[in-house]
Amino acid sequence: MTQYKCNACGGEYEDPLPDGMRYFHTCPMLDRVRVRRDGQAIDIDPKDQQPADVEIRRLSIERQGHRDENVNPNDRDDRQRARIRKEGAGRRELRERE
Amino acid sequence: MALSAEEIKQLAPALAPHGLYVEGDDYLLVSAINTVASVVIVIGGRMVQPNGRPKPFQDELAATADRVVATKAINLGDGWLQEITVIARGAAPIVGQTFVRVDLVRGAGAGRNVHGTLIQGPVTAFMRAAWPGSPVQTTIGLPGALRSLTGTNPAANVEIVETVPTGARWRLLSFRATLVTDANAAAREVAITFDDGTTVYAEAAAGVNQAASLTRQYTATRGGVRGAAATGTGILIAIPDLRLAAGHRIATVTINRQAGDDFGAPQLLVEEWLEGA
Repeated sequence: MTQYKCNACGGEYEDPLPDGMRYFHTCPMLDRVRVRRDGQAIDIDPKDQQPADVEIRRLSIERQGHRDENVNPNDRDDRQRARIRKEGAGRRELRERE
Repeated sequence: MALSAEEIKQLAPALAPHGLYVEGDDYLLVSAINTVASVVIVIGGRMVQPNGRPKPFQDELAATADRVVATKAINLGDGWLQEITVIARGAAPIVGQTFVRVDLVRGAGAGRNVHGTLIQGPVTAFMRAAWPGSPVQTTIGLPGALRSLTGTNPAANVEIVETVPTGARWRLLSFRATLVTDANAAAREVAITFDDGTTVYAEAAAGVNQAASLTRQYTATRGGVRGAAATGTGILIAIPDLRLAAGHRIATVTINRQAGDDFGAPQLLVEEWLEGA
């Protein structure tokens, strides 16, 4: 079993899992809110909202380097293995679990 | 008096009354979806050749562990197909983790015609699927495989998100995660949300707050009653009984989350069906 760290979100996970099944990491989305401030529509972190802001809508956006290891069955390599949906910023190996 | 080859060919249906006649352009198309590493699908059977002699056959298909369909076309030559059996080898999948279909097709390439489905059902390292004999089953018609899995341990100030993998269908039975709060004074409240990859369709809140510098274990389970331990550190969240399709997500949402608040890796108990992709 190998432990990995996602370079985009910093999450740590094992793949494959101890039961022999693969784990497909996906980065969490970022919460944003679109507000009207001084006549302009801007997307901000919800915690940066100001009392005078007019909320337009809540958004869920991908972080920079967003990684999605779920496979795309319509995108295969030379050996007909399905590729992951989004490589993003990649991952690095932390350690091998005994 | 010896029979000619033509006479044997004419008599062969009587020798193999329950066989399916196949010829050079006909193939067995073996398809498998699977979740366990190192599984090899072994297909075996027996033909009666035009000369009346039985001929066993065996072949293998390496199944990928990503729930994506793997296929192999097997040419049987001329004769009467008598029986087929399929079993898993190389690993020990439980019922619901490896599913096989065997079709009789004409042509080996993408433009092939499917004449019939002979086998469609689960296999394990012990349990075979067979033709004739086994019923043609759907992948979601049987109880799913139970899995206890560890998700991603997010960085501090990042919520937990677990995605139902491609080709799977989940029923979440239990979810447990630990939240350690930093020293900033704030009344955090944790909720579990379910979305379709974009839009949240269910949300269940803890109903109790977690203050600064505390460690609490959140357990979300269907049929549970919302509540917190009187002196312990457990907090129970009641969640609905939902079936989650591939790409749907289970996530935490923490109101008043602070920069140093840190979730541990979640542990999930799910019932999983193979949908295939």
